[in-house]
Amino acid sequence: MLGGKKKKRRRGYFYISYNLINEKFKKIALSGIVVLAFVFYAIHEKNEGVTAVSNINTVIDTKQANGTSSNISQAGKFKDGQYISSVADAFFGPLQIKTTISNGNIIAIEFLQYPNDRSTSIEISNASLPVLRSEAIASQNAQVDIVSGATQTSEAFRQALQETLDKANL
Amino acid sequence: MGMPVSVEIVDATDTKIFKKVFDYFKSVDERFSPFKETSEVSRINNGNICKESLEMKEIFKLAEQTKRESNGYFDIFRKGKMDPSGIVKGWAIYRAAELISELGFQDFFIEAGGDIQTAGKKWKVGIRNPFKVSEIVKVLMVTDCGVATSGTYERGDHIYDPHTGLFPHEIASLTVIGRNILEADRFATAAFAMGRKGIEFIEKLKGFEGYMVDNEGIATMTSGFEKYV
Repeated sequence: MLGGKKKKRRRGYFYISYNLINEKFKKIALSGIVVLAFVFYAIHEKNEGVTAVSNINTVIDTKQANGTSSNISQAGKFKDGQYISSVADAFFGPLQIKTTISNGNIIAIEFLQYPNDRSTSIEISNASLPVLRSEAIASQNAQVDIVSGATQTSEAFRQALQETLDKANL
Repeated sequence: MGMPVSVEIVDATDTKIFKKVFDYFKSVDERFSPFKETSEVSRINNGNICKESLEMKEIFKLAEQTKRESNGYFDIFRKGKMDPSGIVKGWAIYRAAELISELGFQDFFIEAGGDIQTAGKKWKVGIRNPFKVSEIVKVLMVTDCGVATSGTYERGDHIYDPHTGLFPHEIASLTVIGRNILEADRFATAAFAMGRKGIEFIEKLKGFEGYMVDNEGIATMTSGFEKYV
């Protein structure tokens, strides 16, 4: 046996000593792996995208063609025309839209029905409060057209309601 | 709702429009009365309904908005039940006013349960004395306004403060004047639940004025209230 260190060797594995790889080569190798990964990802996504659009075109054709054959000129584009959705329940009201396709692209989306939005904005002042004026109430002798006040009738009903809720004891 | 409704239309030539308005209130009552077993409100509270009507959805949306704007003081849910009366009244009057306007009438008012929507000409509105129903304590001149009064004739047992679970004892009535009755009503209900602080809440709201009567018969008004007197 000759003198010197015994080298470790594993059968079936390619063993590289970490210390022998130049730092520069290591960086290049890593960059290359990252770039390759992106390239593979992009190719994959592109294929997926084309497949999805083809499916949409097929769906539109099926709905609009009325038995005639598809005549989409280009893969990946929508068929020209106007398409109206069914009325959807948007929780706060009905929703229906009309989409206009021209040259294969969406050029307009119009709301035919939209939830009835009664929201009115209010402004709340952040300024400090002025001292509010007070007065003792006094009976007024005047003819009026209308009277505003919590009426006895509505009051009685509200109290009755409270009673029923208390009895229900929920 | 079970409350009297008054409608006056200055330029009405026949009674058809009045029938339309009263029929509308009747339909609102059918849908929203918590005292009718068949109403949508009762059915929801009994868990018997799958899909709310568009009107109910609109009420829910308004209730949610008011709850947010009043920091939770307005809440239609209580002890697991829903009672939207605090918002339905003003909403119904507002809708009825739209109905009358759309038919071309300009000078009118609708009053239901003490809440009012006026249109067109100046109308004289009195604020009822919360301690003596036959008396008026303030006279207002309003144009195209909503006037809503929340209150009680007896101490305490009326509007519920969702935060404390109690009924406020501090004030007897709170009148709110706003650009329309829908707005005035929802804020009057919310503000009343705040007790004495309610008038400060109204003061901070742009476009709304208020007149609060406390249990001692002292009234406090917002800084712009005088323009209606």
